[in-house]
Amino acid sequence: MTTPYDAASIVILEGLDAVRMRPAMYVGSTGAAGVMQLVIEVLQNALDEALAGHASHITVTVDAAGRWTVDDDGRGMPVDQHSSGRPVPEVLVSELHAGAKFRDGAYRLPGGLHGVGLTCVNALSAEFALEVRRDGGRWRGHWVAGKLAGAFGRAEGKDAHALDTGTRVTFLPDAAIFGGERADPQAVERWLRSQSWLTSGLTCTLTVAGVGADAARSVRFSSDEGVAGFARWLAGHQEFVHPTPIVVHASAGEGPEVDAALLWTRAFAEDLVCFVNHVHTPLGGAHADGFRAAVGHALTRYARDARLLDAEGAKGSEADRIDGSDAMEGLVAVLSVRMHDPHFEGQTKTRLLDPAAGRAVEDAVGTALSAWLRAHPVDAAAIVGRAIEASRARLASRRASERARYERVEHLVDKDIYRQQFGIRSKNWHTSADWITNAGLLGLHGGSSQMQEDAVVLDVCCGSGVVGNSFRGKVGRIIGLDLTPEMVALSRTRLDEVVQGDVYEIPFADNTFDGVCNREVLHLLPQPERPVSEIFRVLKPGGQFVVGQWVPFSAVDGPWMFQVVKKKQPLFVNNLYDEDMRALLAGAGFVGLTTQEFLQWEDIDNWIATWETPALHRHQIRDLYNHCPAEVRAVHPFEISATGAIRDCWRWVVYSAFKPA
Amino acid sequence: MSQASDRAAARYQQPALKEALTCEHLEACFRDEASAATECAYFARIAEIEGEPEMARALREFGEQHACNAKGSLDLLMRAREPLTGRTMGSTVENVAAMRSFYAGDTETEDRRARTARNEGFSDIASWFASLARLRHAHAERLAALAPAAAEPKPEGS
Repeated sequence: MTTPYDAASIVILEGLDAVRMRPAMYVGSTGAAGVMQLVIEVLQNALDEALAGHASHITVTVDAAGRWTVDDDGRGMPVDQHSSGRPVPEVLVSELHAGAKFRDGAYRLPGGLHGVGLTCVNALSAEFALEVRRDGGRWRGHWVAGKLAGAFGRAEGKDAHALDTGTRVTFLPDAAIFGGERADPQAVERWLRSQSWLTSGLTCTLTVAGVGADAARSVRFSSDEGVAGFARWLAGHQEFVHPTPIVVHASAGEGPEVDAALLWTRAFAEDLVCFVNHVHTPLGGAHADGFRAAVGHALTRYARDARLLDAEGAKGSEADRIDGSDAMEGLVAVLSVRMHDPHFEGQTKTRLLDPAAGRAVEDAVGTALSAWLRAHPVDAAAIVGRAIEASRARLASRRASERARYERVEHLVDKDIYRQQFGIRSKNWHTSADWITNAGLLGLHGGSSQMQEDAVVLDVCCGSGVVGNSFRGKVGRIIGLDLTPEMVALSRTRLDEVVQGDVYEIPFADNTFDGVCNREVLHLLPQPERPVSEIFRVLKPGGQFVVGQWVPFSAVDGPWMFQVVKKKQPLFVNNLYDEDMRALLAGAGFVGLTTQEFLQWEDIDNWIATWETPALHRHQIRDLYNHCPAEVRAVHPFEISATGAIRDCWRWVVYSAFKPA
Repeated sequence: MSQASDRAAARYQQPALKEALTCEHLEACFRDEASAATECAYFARIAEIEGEPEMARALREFGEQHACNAKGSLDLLMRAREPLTGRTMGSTVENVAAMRSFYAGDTETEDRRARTARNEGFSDIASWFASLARLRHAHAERLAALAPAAAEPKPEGS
């Protein structure tokens, strides 16, 4: 049973002064992420009422000016006098470290920033209003830039909803601090949707006012499916390996309470979404580590006991060995831990530090998953088969990197590796990265054309043919060349003719084409001088070569980009800088070089969700962004959202050069 | 006691370290500890991803210890020479001069390494060496731009 939530529950630890001076210290940023943190803080207070069993509905609205209102039907803040002589709500929103969450009792497992949250929201808002419904009345207060305007007190007049209880907070983030940045309503929607799954009996409603071309909308979330429903929703339209999520629930005395749902899919990326006391921890931590350990050990143990591993390598390959990252491949999972006094890295709670939580999760998930695997042998075999497949792909990726070695001038590249990789990638080529079909980038290629209307153009390493097709309407005929039969078939839908062949020995006579185009291939080819010379050879005198390539922003981000790209693509062999591309073209004899730059934002989580990128590398790529050296950050723009999603800004350069007439 | 007087005291009490085989051993020890620190941190992350949190914790803690030990070796080498270039070190002016020398010499080293890798057919490793050479050149330029400020005499009492 909880103790009363009243004036005696409130403890003042220190005053509020520094928040407006150093906002990023409290909410992490003075950009959109900081505004989002304000919204989350208010939501978290409402959620804490729900988790304490006193609220069942959270209503959120945002108006066209960016003013947020969060209303819950909980108990309402206590309105009596605090020992400091002021009404409790006034203390709660104007004193740092004031709240009931510092004492056991009023809230069992609170989230939020613990007494910093609501005060920060007030301090960082141009306008802040608080309404408390409690004890048959309404109390209201209004603050401007953190200063109380008037007095906090009971509203006069007859109240039509005298029996209502709850708390309503309305605030407008201060444009002087956040520069007019706004929280993304879709991120708030994701938060509310998550909480409705994690909190039994909670209904959440979000109403967003129309702004510009975006129409007004309202959504409502309520579910009794719990974490299983959450996992199924996260998996979306992916093909499932087993029909229903595996559900874990464990609670032991005062220890952490663990809820989890696991659903293996045929996708490549793992998607583990973790919460501690309903706070999303995008960087994981002890609970996520415990989860991974449990999954890896449970699958390995089951595979060994059920004799599903090729332990001797009898099929002419290396012995099977599932590691944790193989076991996690394609797994969509939700992990929710509720515990007393969790310790986090940083005020915004992105990473859990408590080893005890890791052990509790490992025990709970390991025990439940092992039991489930034994009880469902058919599904278990499919899941273990998926992990073995991942482990073999990991080994194949390592071999691809090794076999891409170009052993001296007279030796040839192992083309099977390229055929195999791009053959597999052709299945989802256009959705595997944003740059492939980006209209602006493609437009720079076709738009560079200085050829006659009847010109014949060769698209070298044409892939799906989109680059060649960008010349459509500007030239007479477009021919494709690609090594991979699957890509040849794909590009035939766009180009006039497609030939299967090799860029090192282009199967056309000298001086055949008026133009050649190519994009994002030279970094995969050992000795790129040779294909560029081949292109020069097949061009007619005066012919134009248009080639697009992403390049590092400077010498400073080059080694970092090398690591990112090499981990994504084992065939990556040339970290081509702008100077290298210029030297490559000049070295082959091209003249009249002109360039156009294009900055394009790439969704990194999508870009790395491919067959050729093993799970370990996907983690390491995210680490490279999350722990990027400051010097690199200063020259290379990228964004990591509050949910951990990464978007990278790529510097593309489209080069146009000519074979001398 | 200042670093200069530290070195002076060491000269009177002990043979010159920079002439001794011990200096080479100390430099090797520095390289070993610095390498082990990086490896342990790298391996710890792999262990974490592979679902071995206890192993990860142990490796991470070893890495922290190795990094601390590398600094310990560097402290002792202060009496002799900077291990990458053989120059004196101690004050920021000396340290920056040593790093500039390292970057200048190392850019050439990386270029040579890149050529060898390319000749031996390891295009990706050649490209890695070349990328590092470019970065080190950029670092040398940045330090050169800062060096006059670092070389400014400090006010008395600082």
